[in-house]
Amino acid sequence: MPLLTVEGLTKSFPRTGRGTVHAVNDVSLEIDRGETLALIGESGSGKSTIGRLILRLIEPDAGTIKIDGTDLLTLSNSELRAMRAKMQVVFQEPYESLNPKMRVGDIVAEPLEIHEPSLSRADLRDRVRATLEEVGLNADQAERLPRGLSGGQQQRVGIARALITRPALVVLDEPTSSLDLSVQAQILEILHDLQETHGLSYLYISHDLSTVSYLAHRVAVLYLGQIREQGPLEAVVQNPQDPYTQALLAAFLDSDVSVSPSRLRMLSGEIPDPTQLPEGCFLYGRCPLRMDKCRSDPSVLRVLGSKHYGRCIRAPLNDDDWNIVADSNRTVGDRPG
Amino acid sequence: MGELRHRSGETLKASFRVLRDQPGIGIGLSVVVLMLLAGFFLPLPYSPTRPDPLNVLQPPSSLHWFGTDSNGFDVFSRTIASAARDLPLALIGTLLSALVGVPLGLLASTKGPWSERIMRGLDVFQSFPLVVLAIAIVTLMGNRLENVIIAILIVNVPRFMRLVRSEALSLRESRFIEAARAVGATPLRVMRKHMFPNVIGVVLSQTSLAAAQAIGIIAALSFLGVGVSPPNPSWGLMIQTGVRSITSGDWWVIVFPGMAVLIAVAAFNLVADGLQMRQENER
Amino acid sequence: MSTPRLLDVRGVVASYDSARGIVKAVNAVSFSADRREMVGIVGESGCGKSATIRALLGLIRPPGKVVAGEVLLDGQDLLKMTKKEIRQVRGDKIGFVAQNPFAALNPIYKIHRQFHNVIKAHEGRSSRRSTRKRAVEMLEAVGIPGPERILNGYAHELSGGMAQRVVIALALILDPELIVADEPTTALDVTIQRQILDLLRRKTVDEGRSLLLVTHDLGVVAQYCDRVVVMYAGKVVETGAVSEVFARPAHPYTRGLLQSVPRRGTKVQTLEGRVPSLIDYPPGCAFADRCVFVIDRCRKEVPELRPAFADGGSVREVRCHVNEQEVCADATVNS
Repeated sequence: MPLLTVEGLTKSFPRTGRGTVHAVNDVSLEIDRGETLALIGESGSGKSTIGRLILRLIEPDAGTIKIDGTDLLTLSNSELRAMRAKMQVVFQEPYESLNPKMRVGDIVAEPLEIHEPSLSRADLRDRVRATLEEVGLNADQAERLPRGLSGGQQQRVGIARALITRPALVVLDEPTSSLDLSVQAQILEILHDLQETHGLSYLYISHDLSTVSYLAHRVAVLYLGQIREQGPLEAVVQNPQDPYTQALLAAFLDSDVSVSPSRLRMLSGEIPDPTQLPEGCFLYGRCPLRMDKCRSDPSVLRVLGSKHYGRCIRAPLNDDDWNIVADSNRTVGDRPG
Repeated sequence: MGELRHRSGETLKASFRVLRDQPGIGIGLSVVVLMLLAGFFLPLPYSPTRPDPLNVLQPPSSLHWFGTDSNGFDVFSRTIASAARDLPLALIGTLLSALVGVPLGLLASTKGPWSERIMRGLDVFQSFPLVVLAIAIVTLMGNRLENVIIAILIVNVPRFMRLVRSEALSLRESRFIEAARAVGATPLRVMRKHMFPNVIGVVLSQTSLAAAQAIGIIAALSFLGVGVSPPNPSWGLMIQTGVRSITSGDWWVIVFPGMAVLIAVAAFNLVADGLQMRQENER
Repeated sequence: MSTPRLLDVRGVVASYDSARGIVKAVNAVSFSADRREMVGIVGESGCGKSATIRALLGLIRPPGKVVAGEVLLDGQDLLKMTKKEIRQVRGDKIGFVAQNPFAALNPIYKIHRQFHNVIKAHEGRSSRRSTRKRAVEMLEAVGIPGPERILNGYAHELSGGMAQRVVIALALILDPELIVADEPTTALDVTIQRQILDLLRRKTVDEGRSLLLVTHDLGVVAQYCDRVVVMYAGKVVETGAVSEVFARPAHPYTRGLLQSVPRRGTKVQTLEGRVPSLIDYPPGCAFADRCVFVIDRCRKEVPELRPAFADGGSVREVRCHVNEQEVCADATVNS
């Protein structure tokens, strides 16, 4: 049985002025123990909202969320609070996610104070110290205020706080996107090692393909709050079967100069207004491969391969489909020389 | 234990640093403390409550440093003695206002119909001119010191509530409050451990500001004859007496208590400014 | 012997006095850019890349000041110019594209008004109609469909990608020779990023301009830039052609940075430690404490920028005591 099972998750927000933003639309996913599922998508794709919904930091409109068989949405407030020891989160903004008036040691100790109130002062301190060391901080830093730490150290504090109650699931909401490259590498390494030692399950929310390919076992691609394609990392990255996934992957710029940039696959226009979801396939208005059927037929996830699911009714796609449009594009990013 | 000592040492050091960076806080506090000490302990040349009817409206001299008023009170003695009454009244009134207003403000920042109702009630309440309201209430309830404090509360509690609520509302959106919820903190714990320490700075600054204003309110009440009752000394009463004399050119009756009010208000404002600067520097 | 380069930055030092001492945010920085060339300036936060471009745009504000060096644009030293002259040069000869297009556009003016203001400020009187015509042409050139409609609208009506195109059009309207772009795609989504970079590349290479691209994204440099300037702690530590620097990094920092890019199946290489404070500048090489190749000399003697791979034919420079052959020897960086 998977650790996390999410079915039919849906959430919309009323927008001041007019309309309703359909942020998350019928999302279903699973995460096994010790597994990392990456949610990738551009801004406004609903990926952070999904993370918060799964932790019930926001209440979903519909759907079920089961962790270890427990249905989160049936829990009372106090039962949910007790459950939080098992599910944790690391946020994108390292400094903003730490109380500026609390010392590092108190920040990391707080989850234990809440979930294991019987712990003695000495035990509490030992656990804090051990957890700080586990994320590469030293015990002296427990006395510091968050302001006195670098961005990377602040994020380590955030990880230590998430980890100290020995959770089973950690939602990582772009944990390295505000960090420098060398610091990002340190944080990724810690996250990777922690997963191996504690068998953690991660929901890794990101827009960055390089970190995703480092951490993730499986990938779900989001567009307009909907999963376009989902499958094992290799399958999705090497054999994407959705025009949106293909466009997203093609936009990635490899720092390896021996890899020439892939041909830019451009979708026309921009992400539509999420107050008015398109009919049929959400990608219809922008898709160069569209057919009339895409608009009329309901858009559903189909099995494309082993554990590989996609929505595009034209899948399996082949490269020639794109060439027709790619060549007529005015922007093609070939580097001279 | 050692950790505790270490921490209080740290706090002490931090306090010194604040005083060095914001000298206004130290200066303002010293002035207030000096005025209080003088009011309580400075030996006075004359009794502040027993007039000398033979020596009315004497100009400042070596006998009466600040002169005497139309009743024959020694202005110097009364100006000093007033500090022992007006300042504690102002401080107690303001601190009580904070004590009531801060938790109410935090509560009013929670989501739900409750807080909406509180805030609407507050709107209605605050649409009255509060100082006038306070005077009216004290007049109706009688001329007692407790009522002066109630007047200060009426004016200040809504201010503290609004201030704390607006700070708390923006804090609620912040990532670290979300993080606290995510680790399973109860709403009460979130308020106590995460919101409160982050609003205390603005509350302190507002407290000093409100204390300055309370001095003014006390003076105004006394001036109108509804606060401190004669022959008890109060700056407001003295100014009231002085107003009658100023047309005849007897300036000293009003100038000295007026200056005392000014100095006390300025001292509290210095503290408030310093605290606010410190807040901004931290951000 | 060779024609002078369009931009030649020589030994620029910019510093400011802080409470704890003098901070050299830009420390003897030299580099150059040719026409039809995209030069990437990379480094982590605090390395001085933004301060460097502010220095050459004359945008360093007190308490900061430029204390040494020359910035030659077409042979003219920008650092010797008066404020008024440098203002004229910005726009006329240098177009600037900032990270956040919405901060660069005035929210209360319609777009056409902003074009009009720029043209008026630099060319004096200009008729509404002629500026409008030029703006339409320029917006078309940067790939904005329906430019008339955009011109009559406000910045907040645009998407991020469109707003950045407008900023680029504004930067190009006076036909500058040099474009300076500070993280131009960092605030944009990845699918938009390529379009903007393609546009900048076209405007640079096809139209004979020169582009300085400040970025922290090694992928952008690898795929779009011709040459790269790697900065660390206020200094240039390595320069050269992108294809060579990225394939065979000569400086241990460049190497470490490239190895920090996470890749599937490889253990990510980390650069331990952090950038030293610019105040307590270490006596020798600023990178010594984090360097895996460190030798005694590194801690005593400040390395100078010297030619590397001299036999290679192209211009490579590196600021390191260690032999570059050794640094790049096992730099199977990208596998």
